Amino acid sequence: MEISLDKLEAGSVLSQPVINNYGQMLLPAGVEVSMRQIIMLKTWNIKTIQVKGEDEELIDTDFGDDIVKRASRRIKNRLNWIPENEWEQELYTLGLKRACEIIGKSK
Amino acid sequence: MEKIEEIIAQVDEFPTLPTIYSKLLDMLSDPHTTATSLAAFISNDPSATTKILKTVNSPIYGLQGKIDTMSQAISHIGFNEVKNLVLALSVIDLFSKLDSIENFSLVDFWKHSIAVGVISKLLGKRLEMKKIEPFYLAGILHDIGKIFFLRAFSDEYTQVVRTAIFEEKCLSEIENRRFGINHLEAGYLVARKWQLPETILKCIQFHNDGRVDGELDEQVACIHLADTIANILELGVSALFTVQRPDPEIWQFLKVEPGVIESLCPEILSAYNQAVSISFSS
Repeated sequence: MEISLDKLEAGSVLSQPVINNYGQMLLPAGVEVSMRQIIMLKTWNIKTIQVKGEDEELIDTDFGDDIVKRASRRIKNRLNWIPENEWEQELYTLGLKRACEIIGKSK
Repeated sequence: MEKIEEIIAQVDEFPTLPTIYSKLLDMLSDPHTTATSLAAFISNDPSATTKILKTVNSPIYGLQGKIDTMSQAISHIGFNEVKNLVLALSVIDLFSKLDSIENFSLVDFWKHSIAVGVISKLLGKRLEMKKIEPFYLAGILHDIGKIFFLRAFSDEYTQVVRTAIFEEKCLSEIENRRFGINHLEAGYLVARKWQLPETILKCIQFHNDGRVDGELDEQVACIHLADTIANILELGVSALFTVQRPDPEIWQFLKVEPGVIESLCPEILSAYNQAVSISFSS
């Protein structure tokens, strides 16, 4: 998901590389940004960046933002509960991955 | 007629167990029956034989080496397991020919039931549970009560399923409202009519929360958890799309370590796909 740099928090994971106006990569995708890196991006006048949403961080394989978002809606729709322990979180993640596979195959 | 009387009458009308299974029961209660005579009897039915051998050779049993004959199958997994497999495959065959209703596909229903059978068997093995022999059959039959309602009260059950979806309520609640009993209790009545073992009866009657008379029961809890996992992984659909939260105490009770379910997934998916292919082949 796209967010403005003002709202970016340290610890967020980049879902896309950050490229400056000269085409140079400042930070690669997958990086967990630090405060120092946030300040650096501001000096480069970067306005917005792409970060992984909460559910995207659970998935190792890159299904693409659109599929993960749809899968996230699908699993949340089906579960009438929020995970409250590590086993339930494990089930949730498995359901999310499975939903990504199903949606990905149907495209 | 009171609804409950009508239900009991319909249970009486429900199909009896397939002949092959009844005959197997007779043979097993005869002390003179041998593995050879049992194998010979089952081998008279080539379709059943093929399906049983394919199932025995699948990841559900995880045997080393290939099993080519019914005698070998009996030798490796035992009389009771073979008997259970015969019933499981026969029931699916018998009841897969019913008409689906709105929001309830028979094919998806049986896929879900197969998934629960597969998962409970694999989970039981991974957790080193002692009495896992009936798990595959228990999984296949756990929601047989829904088949009962579908067959005996097709129009009303259509409405029940529709209402459960519309009101976002648990299916059992709407079944209770409409029929006075739910699919777990109806399934128990059917299984009792079929004189199935106690383990199967309790797995059918109590799988919704894994507890028998309020206390967690190891076998029933395993079916309960397998049911949830099958729903989470979207392996078939058992009428409703929603997934209930598993009983929070179940994890410690069954001694499930975090990561175990995830590690089992590849095996589950492989075994499930094979089991579905076997069950729906002619």
